[in-house]
Amino acid sequence: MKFEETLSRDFILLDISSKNVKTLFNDFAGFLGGKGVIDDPPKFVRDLLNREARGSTAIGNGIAIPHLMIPELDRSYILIARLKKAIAFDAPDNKPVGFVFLMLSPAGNREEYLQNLARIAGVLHREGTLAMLAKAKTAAEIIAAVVAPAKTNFFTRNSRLIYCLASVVIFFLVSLLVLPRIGIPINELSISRGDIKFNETIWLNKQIWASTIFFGTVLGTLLFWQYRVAIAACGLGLLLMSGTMDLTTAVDFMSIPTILFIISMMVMAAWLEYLGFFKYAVTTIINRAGPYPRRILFILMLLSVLVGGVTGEVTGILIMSAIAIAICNEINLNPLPFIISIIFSINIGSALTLLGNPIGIYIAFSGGLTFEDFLRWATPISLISTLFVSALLIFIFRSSVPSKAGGTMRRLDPWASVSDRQKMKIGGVMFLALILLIGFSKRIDSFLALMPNTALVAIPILFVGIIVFLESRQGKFLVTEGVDWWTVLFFMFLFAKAACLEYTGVTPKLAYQTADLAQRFPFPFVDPAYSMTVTALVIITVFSAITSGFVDNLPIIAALVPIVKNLKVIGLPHANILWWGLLFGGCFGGNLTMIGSSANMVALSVYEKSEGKLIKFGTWIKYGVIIFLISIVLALCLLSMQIKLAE
Amino acid sequence: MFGRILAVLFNSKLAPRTLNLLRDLAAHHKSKLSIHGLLDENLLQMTAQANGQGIDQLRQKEKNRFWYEIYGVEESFKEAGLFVNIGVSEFINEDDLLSLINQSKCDLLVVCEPGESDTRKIEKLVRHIEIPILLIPS
Repeated sequence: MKFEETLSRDFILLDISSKNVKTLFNDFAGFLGGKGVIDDPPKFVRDLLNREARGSTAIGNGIAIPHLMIPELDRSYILIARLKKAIAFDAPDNKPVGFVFLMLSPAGNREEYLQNLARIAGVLHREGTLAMLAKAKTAAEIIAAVVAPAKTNFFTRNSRLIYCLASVVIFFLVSLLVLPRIGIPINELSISRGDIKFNETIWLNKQIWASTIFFGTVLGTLLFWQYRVAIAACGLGLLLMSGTMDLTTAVDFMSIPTILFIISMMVMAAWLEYLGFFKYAVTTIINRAGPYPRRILFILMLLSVLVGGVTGEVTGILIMSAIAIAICNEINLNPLPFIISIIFSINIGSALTLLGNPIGIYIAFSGGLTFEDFLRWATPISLISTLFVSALLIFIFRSSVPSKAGGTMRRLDPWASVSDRQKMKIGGVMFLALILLIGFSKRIDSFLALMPNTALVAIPILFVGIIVFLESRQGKFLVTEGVDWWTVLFFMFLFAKAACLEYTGVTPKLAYQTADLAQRFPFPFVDPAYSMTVTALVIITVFSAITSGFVDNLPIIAALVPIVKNLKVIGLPHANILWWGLLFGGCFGGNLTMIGSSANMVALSVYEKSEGKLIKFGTWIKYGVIIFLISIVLALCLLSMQIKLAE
Repeated sequence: MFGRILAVLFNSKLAPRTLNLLRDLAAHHKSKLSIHGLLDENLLQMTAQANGQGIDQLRQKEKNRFWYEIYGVEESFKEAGLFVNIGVSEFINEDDLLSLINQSKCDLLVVCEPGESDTRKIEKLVRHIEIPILLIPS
């Protein structure tokens, strides 16, 4: 008997309100008994429950396929039920089940039985089938959804790609109209700097190409994240092939010092993680906190800022979320407030030093900033923001995070993740030495009469050499697996494209426009000598913060860096303050939405895997908006207060 | 010793020797067994390209074949009195397997008859998981 022949409109139950598996099977038994399919409904229910007891027949995605061979049946039957409210089914993905396909076959026809089971499971995994089943209003529509392949035409299948390409075309047309109308003002500065050439047709054409390709890359990256390297590579290829940029310039723009620094720090972080250094350090500190959840939460937030600030947000979040979940399991608390608080702290902490986020490194190399500059400008604001945010989060979560835990808290074993204690100690010492040397890199440059930022790159490279030497066989593994080469390649292509905006004159034009805007709308309530810069600071910070809340922060910062450079060159007073606005916008903006930073997505996936629950967009945003606003306003106020100190 | 065993397979056919080993292992430890088929998307694309087939049809055909095999295993194991549940999903990269391991909360991972590329996938995973791994060679 063919699969299609086993389906019948008479064996479909739409929106039944069974409360659990047992009542569902009772409903099935009553229905099939009424149709004369089965003779002994109680035995039928017992048999089905017995099979469930030997392993759930749920297969994930809200689907269950209970199945049974019954000797007295004359043919196969498939009973389809759509539940009004999904029920727990002990599914492998822990999702409740809303669609149940009961498969019954006569004994002795195992081949047909297995074929039909495979067919049902295959159909239900087909793209679009579940949506059709959910929308179906009649039994006939349910059958059609199962039998007919989901009807998708070219436009439905590729809607995202079509929207993306259409947006790029629209952007191209808008650039074609707008860019010729935005001219570089003819004055002494623009003539002496040579910026006036950007008003010429040849450069206008390059500007249209460069801005369209950059827009396409950002949009493509947002819509097709997994293909980001492919998109960035295609964009760079097009820039070269169209003659918008030459090969030598492209290589110059790839910001190789930034890339070398990122690679070296990735190896260092991977090595320390492999040695179990961070888990050891954090667990040792947490053990001293005692069974006081609010105190633990506060310490975890502070440690997240520090760990995120020196290891980068992704490594930091992996370490801290694993420890938070272990602690919450130990003291029987919901880990959600802990995970959310840690994510916010990590994002704030990623602005702590230039090691915390690739945007920090990119800004440092683009603006000629040193580690000491970060300690002077970024660290205090990050720490003050952390204190405010920590106090606020402890207040928000006061009902779910009590001041004292119910029972005693077993100490976590700090050595659990350490396989070689001696090497872990060496790792700790080397890490501290690296941080110290990076901290003094500017002085080392002066002392050895090196080019600016040479020591900043050379020191981590030297340490990578030592690590690879120390680890001998494991060294190659650390370099190949510890470095996210995929991301590094993406950074290189992206940096080249972003710098192309400067090279072709797009960002100089935007810089002149921003300066003009700042001149026309000076910021009120501040000394008139700084009001223009404060306006520019607010524009740059708020724009980078909001866009970083929805898109990966690096493309945004990469596009804004040349604007800041140009604002500095065209003489905006105290323009160096804008670098910090960019940094805080890019880092703090990540707290706005769940997709705002890689750390958010990593932590949410750790939480989902550990607890089997999802954090909803609404849950996130109600905390995210508050934290985002407070931290950005605080950073803007603190920066504006110090504006006269910026060169 | 092993309360929950996750057995993964990257291809659709399982040798009787592997099935017996798996059954004995689960019975000996009184374990709950999850058998999960992973349909390697890269392999699928390569096969589609090599044979000039449409990827969607090939994927559907392979999925059906996979389900057929796995349901057969489920039937025989349940008849033998074992606790077993099953699943099939697409394998794009190691994260998919890592997520499956975490979701199943298993304390032993059994990789059934891995090919050369499958062994490399497992090698990449080793440092990220804290449970023992048993490879049953083909």
